[in-house]
Amino acid sequence: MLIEFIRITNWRSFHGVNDFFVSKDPAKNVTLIRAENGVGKTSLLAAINWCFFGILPPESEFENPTKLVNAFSVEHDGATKAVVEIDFVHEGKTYRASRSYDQRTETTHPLRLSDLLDGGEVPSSKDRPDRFINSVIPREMAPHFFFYGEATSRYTGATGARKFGEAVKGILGSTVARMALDDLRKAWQDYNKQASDNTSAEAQAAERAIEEADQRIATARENARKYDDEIAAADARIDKLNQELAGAKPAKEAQQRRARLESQLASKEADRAKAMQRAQSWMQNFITSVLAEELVAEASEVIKNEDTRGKLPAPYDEKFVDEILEDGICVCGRPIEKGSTEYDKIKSLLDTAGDQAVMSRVMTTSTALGRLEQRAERAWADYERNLEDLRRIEGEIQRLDADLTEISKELAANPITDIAEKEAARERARIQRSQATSRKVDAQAAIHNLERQRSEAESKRDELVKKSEAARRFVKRAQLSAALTARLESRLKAEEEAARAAIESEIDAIVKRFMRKPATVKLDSDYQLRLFDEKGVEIAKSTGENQLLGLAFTGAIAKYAKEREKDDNDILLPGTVAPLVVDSPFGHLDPLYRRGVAEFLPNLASQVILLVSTSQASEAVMTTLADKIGQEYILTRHNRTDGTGKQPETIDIAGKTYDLTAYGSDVDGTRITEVA
Amino acid sequence: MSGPEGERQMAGEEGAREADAFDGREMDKIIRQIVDKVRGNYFQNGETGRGIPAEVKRIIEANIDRV
Repeated sequence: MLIEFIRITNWRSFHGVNDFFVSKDPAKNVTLIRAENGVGKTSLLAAINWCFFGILPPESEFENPTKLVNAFSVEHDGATKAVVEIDFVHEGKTYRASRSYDQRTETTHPLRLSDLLDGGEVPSSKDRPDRFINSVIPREMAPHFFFYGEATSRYTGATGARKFGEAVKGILGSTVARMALDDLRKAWQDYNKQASDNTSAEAQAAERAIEEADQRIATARENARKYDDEIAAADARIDKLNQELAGAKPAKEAQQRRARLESQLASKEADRAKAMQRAQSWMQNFITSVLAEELVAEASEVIKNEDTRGKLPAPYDEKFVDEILEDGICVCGRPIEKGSTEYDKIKSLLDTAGDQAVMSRVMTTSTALGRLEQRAERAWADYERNLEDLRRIEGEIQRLDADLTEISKELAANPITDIAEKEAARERARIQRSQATSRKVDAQAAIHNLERQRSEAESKRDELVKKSEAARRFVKRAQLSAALTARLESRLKAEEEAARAAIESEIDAIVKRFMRKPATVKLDSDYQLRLFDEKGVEIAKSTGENQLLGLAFTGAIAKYAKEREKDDNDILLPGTVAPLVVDSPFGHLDPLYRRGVAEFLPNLASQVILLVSTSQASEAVMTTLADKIGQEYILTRHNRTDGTGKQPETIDIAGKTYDLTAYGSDVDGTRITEVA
Repeated sequence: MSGPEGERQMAGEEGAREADAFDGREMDKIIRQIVDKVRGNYFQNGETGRGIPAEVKRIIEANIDRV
């Protein structure tokens, strides 16, 4: 798909009809739209997503989602509707997608699709436009083509990894295969149930226990996911407030101090996790020797006593004495008569003689006991060292926590209300995060426990079912369902692994070319994106580096989707060619990284629409993008007020001056102007 | 996506054991039939549509004697 033309009518801040062409030229595939904050960049991105899929951004990023019609148009022109129309080319044909919203009834109308023939609109033969759009850009892939650039810096930690994972699965078009997996699992479950129904009451009871455990596991998993979302939402709020505080002069220094302390805290928490891990390993390694310590001491004592009494090791063994008596010849060569004094004397040696096998066993036991004693001694030394480490780390964590609390108090007491309010909001978000984290840990423990119960019930059920003739028919079907599930899962896993490796290699190439420090990228099998230095040591990533990596990732998956466009895979949806529409791609980046993004993004997608503020469209960015820009526009904010006391906001492009903000206008709202 | 994760793991472990008992090529043929059927349902009803385990069972029934 290539977008050709976009028209928005009375959409949010945009007054009246505004339209613009999108560059389709492969050599100049960038359409650049410049606007200052609050003028309409995010609204424009939202318009594209909403038109195709009826999706609006979350309310935290898009206030008043029921007020989609431009306020000035409602008040002065009597407008009641907002309309977004997008003309696009797909497989040689041109279509117009349009969606409208009626504010009186708060109704979003369904997507309309028309064919465009010679510029004229004719009803499309597609009976379900939403399904058609879904086949052009699968809904699961859309968020990775139309997105807010700064949000990519949040692709860190566990929630970030989940986003990466979802993106790779989304871009692979694995939804259908996953739905098939769900159906196969249901079929497998049904067959197992039917098998149990044909057996004893005991097997049926086990089956019911499995079902009950399944339901409880599903609920616990749902809760864990909900807590994950709460953690991610709190993280996003904290991130945003951190940035706002760092941008406010009176809070800047304290915020910087906090960032440093939080980084130290994260490192100490990692140390604590390692120490806890060591403590766990200690249990596994030494628990036997520690628990057996007393027993070992007693056993050693017994052996020692025997040794003292001269029985261990015995000076001679039974076999040796028996042989002398049997042969009737002493070791000195003299004959020994049965019944003689010598014979009886030698025979009496059997009372103290040792059995060779027993002696050997006693010696082995003695050696093992010695080893256990040594291990027990080492165990306590290790235990003390671990405990000391943990105490020290806990102390450091407490100190850092106390310093962070001080900074928080300091900011909360700031006489500037805005800063105090932001800090209070941050503290609320932090508490919510911590509560959600603790609930998630509980949910995970519950899941673990339920899974164990389920596994026990399952083993019992399987044992009982095996004994029943009547159940055999269903057992075979259950076995086939399980085998098909495993095979489909393993094929999907292989596809995901290939995608992961290709995307990792693309990001690595970008990092090698554009990042200022030498680094290698690893996208783990669990989708954690990590950076390593030349010695293989992991490098911490700054916010800017995270954004660069996030954009590299998004570009890489757009490229991967493009490469898979003609893929004839029997379990995955084919890839797609779609425009990359990025709002504020340069937010946290410094000039070097901005230049890098400006260079690599146009090369990864067929068509790129960049929505940037004038400060983001720096000279370095513009110089790099210059040859790639096919269309360029300005979003101008029009105000009816005369602007007394306000700084004029204009921009000079190619010798011509354009208003970024205009005063004394007829309307209040945003208008699009083409850069000539 | 529905279906408990625990059950997934169980099906995976048991399935891996069972997979050796069936012919891989034959299993791929059945998988193709199932995915085709599910794809039709997906394009008809979207991701939120109900699953079709009964259809999947019909495909398994039709192939059980062949594998």
